[in-house]
Amino acid sequence: MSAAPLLSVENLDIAMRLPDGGRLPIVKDFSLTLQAGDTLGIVGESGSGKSLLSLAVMGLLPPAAIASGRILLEGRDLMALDDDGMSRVRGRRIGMIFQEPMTALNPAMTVGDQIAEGLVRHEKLSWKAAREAAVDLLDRVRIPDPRARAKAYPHQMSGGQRQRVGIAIAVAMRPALMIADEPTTALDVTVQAEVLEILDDLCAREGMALMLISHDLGVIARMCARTLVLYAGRRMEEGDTRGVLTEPLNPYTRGLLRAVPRRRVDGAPLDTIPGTVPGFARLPEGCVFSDRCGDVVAACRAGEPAWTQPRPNRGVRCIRAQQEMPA
Amino acid sequence: MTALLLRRSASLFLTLLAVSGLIFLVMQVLPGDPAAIMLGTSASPETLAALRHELGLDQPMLVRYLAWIGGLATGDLGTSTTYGVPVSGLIGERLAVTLPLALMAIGLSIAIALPLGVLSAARRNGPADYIAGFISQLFIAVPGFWVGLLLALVFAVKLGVMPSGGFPGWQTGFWPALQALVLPAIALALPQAGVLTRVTRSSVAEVLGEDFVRTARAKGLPKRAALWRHAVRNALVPVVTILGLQFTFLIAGAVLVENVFNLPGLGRLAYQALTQRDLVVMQDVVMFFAGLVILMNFLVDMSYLLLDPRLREAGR
Amino acid sequence: MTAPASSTPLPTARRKSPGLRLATRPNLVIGGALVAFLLGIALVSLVWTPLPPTKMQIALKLKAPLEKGLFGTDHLGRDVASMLMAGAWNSLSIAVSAVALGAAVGTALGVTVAAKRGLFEAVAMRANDVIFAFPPILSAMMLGALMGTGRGTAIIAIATFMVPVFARVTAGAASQVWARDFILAARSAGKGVTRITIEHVLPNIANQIIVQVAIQLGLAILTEAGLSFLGLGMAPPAPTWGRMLADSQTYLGTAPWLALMPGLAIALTVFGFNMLGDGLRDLLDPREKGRT
Repeated sequence: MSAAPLLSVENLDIAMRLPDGGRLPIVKDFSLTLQAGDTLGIVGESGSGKSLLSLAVMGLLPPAAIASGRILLEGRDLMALDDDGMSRVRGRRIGMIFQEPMTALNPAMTVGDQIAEGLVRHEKLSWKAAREAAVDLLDRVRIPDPRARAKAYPHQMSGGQRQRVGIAIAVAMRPALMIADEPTTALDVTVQAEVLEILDDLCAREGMALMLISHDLGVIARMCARTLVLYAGRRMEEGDTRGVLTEPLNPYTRGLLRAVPRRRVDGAPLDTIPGTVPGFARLPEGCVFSDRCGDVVAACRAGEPAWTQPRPNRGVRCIRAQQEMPA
Repeated sequence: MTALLLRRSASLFLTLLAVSGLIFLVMQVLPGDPAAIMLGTSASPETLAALRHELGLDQPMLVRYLAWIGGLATGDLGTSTTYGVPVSGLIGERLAVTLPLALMAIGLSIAIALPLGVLSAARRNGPADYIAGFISQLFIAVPGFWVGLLLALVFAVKLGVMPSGGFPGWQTGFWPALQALVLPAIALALPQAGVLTRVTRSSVAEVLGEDFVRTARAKGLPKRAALWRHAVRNALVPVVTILGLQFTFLIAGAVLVENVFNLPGLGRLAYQALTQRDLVVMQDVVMFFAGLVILMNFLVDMSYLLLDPRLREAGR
Repeated sequence: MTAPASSTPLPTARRKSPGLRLATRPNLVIGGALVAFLLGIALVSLVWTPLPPTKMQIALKLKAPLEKGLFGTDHLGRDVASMLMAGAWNSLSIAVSAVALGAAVGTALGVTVAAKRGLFEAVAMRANDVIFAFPPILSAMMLGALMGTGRGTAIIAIATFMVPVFARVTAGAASQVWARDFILAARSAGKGVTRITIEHVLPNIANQIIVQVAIQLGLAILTEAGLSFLGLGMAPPAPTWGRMLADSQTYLGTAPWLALMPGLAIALTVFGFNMLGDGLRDLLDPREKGRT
């Protein structure tokens, strides 16, 4: 490793302040490293804290959230920056695409201006030049007739088109890191593939690193070289995508994989993980997955398992992982 | 959009018609004989009959109503019984005081309420929010005409830097006339500003929670820019709505404040018409005020089209 | 997954004791205390005031506060404190009567609109818009010119303006109740519209009406003060806060306390009712919290 990695998150904890003054821990002991141009997928069920994680990197946590630990971008601690400093990072070094294209755009501003706005502020472009650049960006996210569409308002566009506008806003300033939080969840299946392709294409061409957050293992398998599995705010498993998907070390990952719908020859019913994600206030003792885990043993409830690295570039949080490893 | 405009205009026209009917009913039909009210109990039958003829009260009801609204449409509002001059001229003269006063008050209330409400929303539950909340509650609770009295007490009586009342007329020069309107405008503006601050706060606070504000922040806009460029603009519809609804109270306030400061405006004209039992002036001024309120709400309706592009297509 | 914090069930807040719940609602406590205090003063004024509020002592005119009486005397030597107390009763009684009248008519109109809909709704709501175009001061002037000024005119003028306000609030709230399942059940049980309105709709919108009553009382006090300031309120010599202010204008330079005290009384009363309304809204109608 020659220079500092693009993004490195170290021992991040995020808790929510409760109305009664207490604190509810959500994300615990979270670390990750991302090199320039890397693609990392973070997979987890809804309520696993994955959105909070992306907002923490953006420095856009809700006021009730308290974060501790370090988030380093190109060696610089983002959590030490004030809002002005962070504003110079957002958009320019890190771009973000949000889940809901219906609500993520300002209804009272043309999409062209929403794309141009960041360029005017940060690249000191004139509005005329920035609007021109916005037309070009709309073209690159494959919006037909971009010059005319730049003058459209969000409500005049379909969900898929709006999400492409969202991508155009995020890539406008060629950030080094792109965070996409469930970018296709709200879209029709047919539109999903095209939006993913645009995103993939842009990342590859611009050399952007991608942090893709999704509940959908299929999306992550298609887009990301590395995969991190999140459960109840904890890393459960991490590794190259192929390894995680073909040789899962954590019973939770195996459960997720069994729950992925695929063509079955035997017509057997789809497996599900029993139970639901527990609320953060009612996590079980010991391993957070112990109450739903099929492989649970008494030791699982004794204490929360530590993060271990059984192989280079592979991490897991499970005391039984060593036993599960094929020899 | 044109169809929408036409529909709204038709509705405006119908409302105005209904209002004129109601006023006519209350002023001309309910009292039985308006002439008797105007002259009082001691009038001789001859003078009563003369006035009845002069006012056209010997005509059938419908003819009188049509004559009145016909006059409204053409600007002929009849003749004041006490002043002996055309009412339209009287109203025009008084409007030169009331209209600038109302506009100054509206401008001032926006200038106070918008920053205060936005600040309050941006620092929700912080000390600034509580202070702004207290100030707006205070503004809402104090009667505007009392504020006028206090302002006159401090700036005119004690400090002597402002006129305590009266109006020199625009022909004496712009500044002396404007100066005479400053204290009344403040008195009129504060209660409005209180209500407006509260609405601005809740509306901006709601919009600040929207996803698109986060998108704006994610592209690197600092808090302040995201607030003003994205949140405030989208929060304006309820603010403008209240501004329109508050117009009724602005007019009520103008009647009072004009009396405090002895300003020859429309409100004072209405008050004088009451004390002098000049029903002709009364009827016209009330119609004028009510029409103004309705017109204001119509304009507010129309302004939504400017503020929210989504609505523009609705009527297409 | 846009808002993990809210999608995660948080631990339910511990049930608080009623006393603690009250202490965390300063609006309700301050507003309630102020209103209770003023109501008390108004009631006491009926049986006792330091001096008869209409008693003139010209020799003792325009005395400063504490020089004669708690708040001094006016231009006719009347005791300001006594006049303020009697004025509290006059103001509150007019405001309460007007709001009661306006709320009764407006609510009746509102629930009927919600029950009938269709053409009746269109006509009633348009009529509301028309009435709403008349500020109470204007209608009081119109009515005053016709039937003379006084307590009755003031009450009718204020109540008229309250009707559309209450009609709108109740029509909206009642329509929501009508859309709920238990109404369907009541209808299929063969209950008529009137019975459903009385048995099911009204109890379910009572909270919203109560909140609105508190808020409109503040507005009614303000309006009554304005009317009596213009001489459109209760006839003299009955003391009203508004007329005390009107009288004070002549003596602004020499006796400023005459302008100060009645205004403070009005502001305090309106403030009290507004706080009470806000507090009640938070307590009874949590959906509306933070709205104005």
